[in-house]
Amino acid sequence: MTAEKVAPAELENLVARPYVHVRIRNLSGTIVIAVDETTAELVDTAEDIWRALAPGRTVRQVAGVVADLYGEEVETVLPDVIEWVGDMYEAGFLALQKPEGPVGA
Amino acid sequence: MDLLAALEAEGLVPDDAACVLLVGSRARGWQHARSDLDVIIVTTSPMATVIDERQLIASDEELVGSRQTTVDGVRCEVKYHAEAQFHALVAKVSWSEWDAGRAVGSITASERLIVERLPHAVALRGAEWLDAVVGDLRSSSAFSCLTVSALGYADRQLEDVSGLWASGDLCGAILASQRAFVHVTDALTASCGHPGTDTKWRLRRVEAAGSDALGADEFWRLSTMRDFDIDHPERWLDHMTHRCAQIMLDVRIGR
Repeated sequence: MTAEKVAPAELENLVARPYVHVRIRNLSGTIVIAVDETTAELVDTAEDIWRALAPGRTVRQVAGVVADLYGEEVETVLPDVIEWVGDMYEAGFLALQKPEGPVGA
Repeated sequence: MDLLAALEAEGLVPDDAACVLLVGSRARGWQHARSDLDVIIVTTSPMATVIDERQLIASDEELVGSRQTTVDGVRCEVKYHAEAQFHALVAKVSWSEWDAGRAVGSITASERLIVERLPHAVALRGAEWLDAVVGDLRSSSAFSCLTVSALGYADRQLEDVSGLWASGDLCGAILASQRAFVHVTDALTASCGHPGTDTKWRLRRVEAAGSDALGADEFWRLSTMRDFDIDHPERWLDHMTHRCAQIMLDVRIGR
């Protein structure tokens, strides 16, 4: 099951929340996630972005965490973070919610 | 108490015993006021030839017998394993078996206990034998196999959490999240070389594992639901499931 595309301008102010039922494995240091038959390998910055996802944290704030990790400006990394989060949303790994909205599975 | 001497005096140590091990809570220094003594005796020849059936040895699995006794007023369970069983276990969890996808599902309940107990056993006899077997286990996929098993249980609980939460059953989801956290914790400690599923020793295992992914204080805080707000149960669920997911990122399996 895949989700519809969300406009980047809208996405950066939403909270990206991984689904509770995402299966997570650290295979000798490589993170692999799976939902149903869909799998993804979190390589390089993808793992940093995934780790930065947290309850109540908007995509822009996630970009801020990643930017700090690499000593970059938020605006530098934000486009890549938005694109990756959008891809993961469309692949069914995470939900996008309004920051003040109700939490859920 | 001289445990080995007491067991020998009762005729419970066969002449061909390769190893006599104190295992379980007393071996780790985790015993409580009513803890048993748990002993494993490894024999080099088949059980039937070294244990007299009249000694009421109960066999719950091939090549495993057991005997209850009392040492200085403390209940003592002695389990007898054939040496060949350890070699078979090490072979089953070799990395080549892991790579072939056969290792995880091949471990029996008795073998699981061996993997949990041997690394922390105290040798009353046969220290070199113990060192060699523990070395073989540590360099095999044994811990990864138990880790994968615990992760599988966690996955199923988290699947339930997801479904229950989506259906509005917050109480059910909270209970399932507690179980998920238990399995995630067991997966983490197993991956750190401290496998086990016994509830009462879970905090001890977390302490022993010493992982940055989950400290003893946080484990206790989550286990006792200290931050649960009855007016906002979904916040607890959100936090608990987030922590489960975060911890799983650091549960390493494989070589």
